Amino acid sequence: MIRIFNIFFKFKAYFLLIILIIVSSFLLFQNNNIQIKQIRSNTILAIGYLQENFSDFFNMIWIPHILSIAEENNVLRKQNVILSEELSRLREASLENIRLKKLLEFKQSSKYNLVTAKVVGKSINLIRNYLTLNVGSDDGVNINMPVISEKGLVGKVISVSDKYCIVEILKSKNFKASVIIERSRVPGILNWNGGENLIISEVAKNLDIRVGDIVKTSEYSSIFPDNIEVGTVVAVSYDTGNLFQKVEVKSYVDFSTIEETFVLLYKPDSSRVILEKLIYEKD
Amino acid sequence: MVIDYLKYIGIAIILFLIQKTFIPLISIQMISPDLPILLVIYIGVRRGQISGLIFGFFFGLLIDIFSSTFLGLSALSYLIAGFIAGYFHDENRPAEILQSYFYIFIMFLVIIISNLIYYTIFIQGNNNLPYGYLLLKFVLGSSFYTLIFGVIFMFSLSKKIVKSVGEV
Repeated sequence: MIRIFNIFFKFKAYFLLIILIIVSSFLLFQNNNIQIKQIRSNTILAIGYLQENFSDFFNMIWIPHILSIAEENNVLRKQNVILSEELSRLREASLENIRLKKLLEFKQSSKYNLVTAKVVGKSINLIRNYLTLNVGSDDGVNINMPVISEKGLVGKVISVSDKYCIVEILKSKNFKASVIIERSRVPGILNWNGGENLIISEVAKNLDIRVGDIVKTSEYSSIFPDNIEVGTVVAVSYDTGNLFQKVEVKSYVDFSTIEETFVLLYKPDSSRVILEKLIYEKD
Repeated sequence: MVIDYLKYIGIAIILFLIQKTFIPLISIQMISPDLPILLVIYIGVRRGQISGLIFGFFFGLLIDIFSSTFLGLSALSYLIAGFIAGYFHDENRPAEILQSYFYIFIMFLVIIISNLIYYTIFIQGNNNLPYGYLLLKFVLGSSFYTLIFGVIFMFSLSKKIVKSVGEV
């Protein structure tokens, strides 16, 4: 017994080391104990309070770690730029979302086959004005197909490649479309003379057209299906001695801001086209 | 002797508060010095292995309770630090050791071993961390940073150490 005691006394430090290592290891395995977690959450709260107040006090009397503050400034500046860019992208995405939702509603409600197209190029403010769309023959697009937006008639396809097409818009010198006044069913030919608005020509003076009347495509057209909205009558004027009245139409479509369109996969009845062609040639 | 231990407890509390409040402000790339271990090493060299063991264990436990890492981890690393430091205790010439360059070596050795134990267990407990790189970064980084403070304390408090050793 005394021998054991002597051994213990001789190596007491080592015995104590082993005991404390066992205790520490036991504590390490008790980290998930609920009571220990509760105790620690309270103590960490106290330390956090202490640290926060000390940090505020210390920053008031002296700014330590100037290098880290300078570095922090650089990091914050970079973050600011990144966040500004992201904000701008998010705003853009939000606006695009609103536009696309409208387009989707329009597409779903339309009775025609539509190909959604993005405007990738514009040539506006010239005599012959065009849009370039990112759809082509691969998407089923052909020459003379009508192009519309959710607001109204845009133009017609005049040239097609595999992936792209060129659209001649309403505000183009050569563009013509057969239209009708929705209210009074007065027909006319829509074109553009280089001004701010479109013009309906060859409308007799005695025909009933008023400012505010809605203009749509008529069934007389061999290119455009009927009932596509074009715009609103904004002015009606008469020249003395002239048999016709001048009707100005404001297009629903704003060509300077247009971004998304639809190509109508519409082909007129081929027998009608052939017949009309024969008659015109005969004349 | 009891008064000495009360002084050690007082210094431990001050070091603990400094470690929790001021030290985070001077960290570099998340590496900060470990001031409490310097006291554990001092007590180990000054008073022996048993004192170093017991003091290291309880001081480490106090730090564990008030931190968000594993409970028992600092207690384990500090008790081993106290034990190793106590190995270099010499009753006949305590002041000589505490003021010598050999004491710097003792500090470095103990700090390295203590940090190795601490970060090995710590990183093992967090499986998604890159083991080798972090071990090297934190063990060596923290050790050198702590050693700098150890050397500063050693040279700035050498006269007080000699005086206190002389009184005992």
